[in-house]
Amino acid sequence: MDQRELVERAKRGDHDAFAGLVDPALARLDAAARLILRDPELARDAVQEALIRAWRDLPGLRDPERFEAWLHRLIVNACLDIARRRRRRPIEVEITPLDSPASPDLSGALADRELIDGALKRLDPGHRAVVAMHYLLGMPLPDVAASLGIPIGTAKSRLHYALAAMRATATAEPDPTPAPVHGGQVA
Amino acid sequence: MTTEARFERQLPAVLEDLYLGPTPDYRDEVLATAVRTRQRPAWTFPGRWLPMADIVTRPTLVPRLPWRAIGVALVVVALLAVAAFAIVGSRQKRLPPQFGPAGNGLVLYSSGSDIFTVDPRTGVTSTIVAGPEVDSQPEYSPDGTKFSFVRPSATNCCMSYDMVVAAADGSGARVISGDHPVTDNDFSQWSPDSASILVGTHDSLLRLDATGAAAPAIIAQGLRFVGGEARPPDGAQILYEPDSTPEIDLWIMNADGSGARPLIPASALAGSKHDLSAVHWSPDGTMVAFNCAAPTNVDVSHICVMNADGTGLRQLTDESDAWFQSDLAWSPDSTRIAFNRWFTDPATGTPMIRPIGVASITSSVVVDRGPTPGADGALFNWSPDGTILLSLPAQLIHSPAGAAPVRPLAIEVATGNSHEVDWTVPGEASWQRVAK
Repeated sequence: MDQRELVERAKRGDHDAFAGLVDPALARLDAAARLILRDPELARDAVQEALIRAWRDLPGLRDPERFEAWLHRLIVNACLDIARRRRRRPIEVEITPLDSPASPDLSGALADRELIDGALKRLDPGHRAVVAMHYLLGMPLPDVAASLGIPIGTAKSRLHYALAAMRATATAEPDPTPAPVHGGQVA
Repeated sequence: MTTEARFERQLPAVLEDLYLGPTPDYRDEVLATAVRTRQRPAWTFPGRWLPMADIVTRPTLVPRLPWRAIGVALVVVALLAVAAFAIVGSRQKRLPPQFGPAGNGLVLYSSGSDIFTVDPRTGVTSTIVAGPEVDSQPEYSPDGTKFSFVRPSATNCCMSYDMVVAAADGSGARVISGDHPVTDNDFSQWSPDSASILVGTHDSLLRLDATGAAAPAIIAQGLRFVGGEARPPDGAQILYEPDSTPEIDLWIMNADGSGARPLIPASALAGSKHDLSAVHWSPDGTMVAFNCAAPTNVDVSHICVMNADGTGLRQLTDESDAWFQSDLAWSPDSTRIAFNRWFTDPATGTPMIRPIGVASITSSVVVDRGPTPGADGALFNWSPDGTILLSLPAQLIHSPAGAAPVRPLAIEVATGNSHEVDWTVPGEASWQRVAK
């Protein structure tokens, strides 16, 4: 059954069809939420909120081909809503240990995932959202900008900033006293 | 491949390695909770309702009418109307010039679900579009006589919007996008003559007739436009960055979609990193500006300008400690460009924001204007007369709905002095051009 048919059936209230739509995306939604929120429980809350909205509003989805893009947008917005609500509560991420080793072709600084993760931790949720949407969810930058309601110039500057910060951290010695992101929002 | 490029290429795999796991163990629970929610029935989406009052007619009994008296009255009314038109016609409304400096009119913005104007001289705010629909992104036409905005389309769902145009006072709102609803991923821009709106969708470029009388015209298809502008003053050419070419390219086409061709040779951009989605014609149509980076350091973003025919490409500014310059905006007289700018703090290596920079096109000298904005930079508009930069914190535009409106800063371009105005807006605003 193709996605269009699954969407049409789910629109008519078919639970199995909705599960069929969501299942292939669920792990990646969870990953994006953990990257942005850096907390597995909050990530689960974000996924829950996104799925509730997707199910509730699905009958109004005009173009079934846009289901996945719509779902990506819902998860990021759910994450940012949660981040805003918890803006003043520092949170830490628990990296889920994975059985599979790091990709063998990743060399040099990139191989050190802890450094990259540390760099991401120093960014605010808005910057992490851009990274998650572009590099983890595969969204083109214009879509990222539109989903976040920011000009594409701002999206690009955030991505630029995030990449520079990750590169700088990944190529430098670990700093025991993380520097705050200038003017950034506290997660 | 450079270290930077390799880093970007490998990043998705690293992020997957860090964060992507098997299907979460909460899968069953979140799905069960989601589908326990009541699904919104399709009929509840506005636009699916039939205007029953209009389609149901009832026979009614009416008394016999005095046709002679009515006829005389109609003739009198017609004569009065002709006289009124003659008087009004003799006082035809003056329009601002098609490009260049103009008088400062009202400031237009959306708040909540409605659209408002504020008179920047008096601070008087007026609601000009209200109702149950969620209207947003209002933008004045270049002649200031009307404005566009977007409204959730018939399904009221899922990133699909109608483009609507209304007169400057909010009257006569009509949908002009027909069967081509836009998404908020699309870019839109008024044509220089205010007669149409150019819309770039995910796969096509459309021209929407501002009156709504003509159906949307598809100018080009099969390309993903990531930016594009019609060249002032006549809109005869459209500048765009196609997303279908493997390399970053700046192209131009005729207004009807014919004659698509690269504006500058690829070799002129090769070896550098250009952000052509930020490309803008100067208001007089003689130059083009966009973000660019030096080949020696892709982490440093500058502003480049060139002539409209693709010649004379040059970096506009050369601030030695610059890190990122973006959000460029031409002054109405095409002599200056204002932009956000960050630099690298030499002591800490941390990016820091600077005041808005205003660069002269002829001398390339950059001057600070206004105070240092927040870390995300400022949202700013030139006043139509070019004397003021109206500045808002950029964070406003990604604040949650209902964020408290703020008082913009009015920055005098000549002196750099600034003051808070005595009215508020909740986000981006559009400034009306009027005749001086």
